Amino acid sequence: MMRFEFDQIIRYGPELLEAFWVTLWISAVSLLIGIVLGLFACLGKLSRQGLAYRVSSGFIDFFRTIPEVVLIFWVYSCLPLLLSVRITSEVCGIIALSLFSGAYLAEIFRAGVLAVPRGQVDAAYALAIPRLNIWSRIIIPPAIRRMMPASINFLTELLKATSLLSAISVGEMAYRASVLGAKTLSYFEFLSAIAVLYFLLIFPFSLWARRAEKKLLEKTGN
Amino acid sequence: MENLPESKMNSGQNYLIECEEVHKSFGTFKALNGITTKVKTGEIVCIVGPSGGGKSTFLRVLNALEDIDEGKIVVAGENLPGPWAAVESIRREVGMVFQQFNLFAHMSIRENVAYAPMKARGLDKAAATALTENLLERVGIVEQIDKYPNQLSGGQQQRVAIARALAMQPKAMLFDEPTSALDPEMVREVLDVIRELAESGMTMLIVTHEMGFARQVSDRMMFMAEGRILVDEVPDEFFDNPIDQHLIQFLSTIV
Repeated sequence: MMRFEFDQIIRYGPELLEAFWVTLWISAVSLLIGIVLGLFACLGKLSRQGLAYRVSSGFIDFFRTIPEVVLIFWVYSCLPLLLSVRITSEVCGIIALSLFSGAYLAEIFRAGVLAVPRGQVDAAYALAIPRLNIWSRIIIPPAIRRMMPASINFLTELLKATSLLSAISVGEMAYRASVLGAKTLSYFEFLSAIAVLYFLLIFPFSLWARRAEKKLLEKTGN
Repeated sequence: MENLPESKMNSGQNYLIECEEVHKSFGTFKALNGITTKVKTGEIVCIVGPSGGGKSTFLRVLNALEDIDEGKIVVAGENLPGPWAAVESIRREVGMVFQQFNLFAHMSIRENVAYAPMKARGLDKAAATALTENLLERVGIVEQIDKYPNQLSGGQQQRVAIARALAMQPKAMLFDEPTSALDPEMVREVLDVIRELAESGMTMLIVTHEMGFARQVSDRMMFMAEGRILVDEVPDEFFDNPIDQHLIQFLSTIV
């Protein structure tokens, strides 16, 4: 009969919390870099022709297609050889997740921009509003509102994807739980604990996404 | 144009809009197939014709919302095709009103009207506000100034859209089926605003299906079909003595 030894979790609580923190900051940094990459890729793809378009489309198609694990292993095993530098596993993880985020966010951003009614953009041009102001005041604010639900949903995917970094021994929650499990043979306790932690971390974002979606429907439902 | 009335041909060189052999295709569809015409300052031209005949495209190329494939356009002294500065200059001088109103949904009525004069004409906030209140008063919407577009009826939204275009103090106005998306009971309130504008001497090109209104306000009637201006005539001749077979058939289908 299996016993759930709560003591183990308490005993290694500080380590689990530290791992929780690693999951959090790696997600945050990857998200930030991903937003920047995504913005550029989105603008490139919206330009619809030329070099910027081809580079952006290639970037988006490639990093949305290959499995995240392959990307993570590739950055970890091949990139240091290509560049002949040493890269820590954390940095490898951030690079891989940033590329992954950039490609997905680019498409989310693009969908948001394209969802702004074309007629409103035409009207702005017809009023001779300068292009920069059209972007900053006419296109981007409603586009952000439209892309919020998908962006928040993506964030939940990203938080989950950090667990894949355990494969390259980044000390985030999944990795720490399996190491502690191996050390103490209390797999049951530690894996259950991080499952709860992941849930507590991610579920609020899911709720937020749902609320954002509902609000958006109310706003644009007319 | 062979059937352009003589009085229009001879009276001065004061053309606000000139088009020469303008062509525009969307893929294989020829939307404009050689448009040549001139519009004088202060003239009111109503354009009618079957859908797909190029009426909307014609208005849109005048404001450079569509690039043209061939030909030349001069609007308020600037040439199209032309550099971006020319495009913006034309758009400052020519207001446009769309079938679907196209108000900025996330901006209040006040912001909708005041934004362009501040950004494109350099008005300060006080001046833009005064102008906005004045124009909304004129179109009868001033009580709704702090509401949002989706809180207004279609007729009210279109009147705001007219005020928004007028806020740029344009030399000419283009109306692209301004009442086609409206419930019947709201058509009149919008037509009244346009009629008042006509009396103020504004140069206007109006694409419309409201024949009675068109006959009443226009100096010239145009009939467009298959990307061409098939008839360009004073209203009485246009409606009472049509010669063009397409126009006769078109008028017979209008109740």
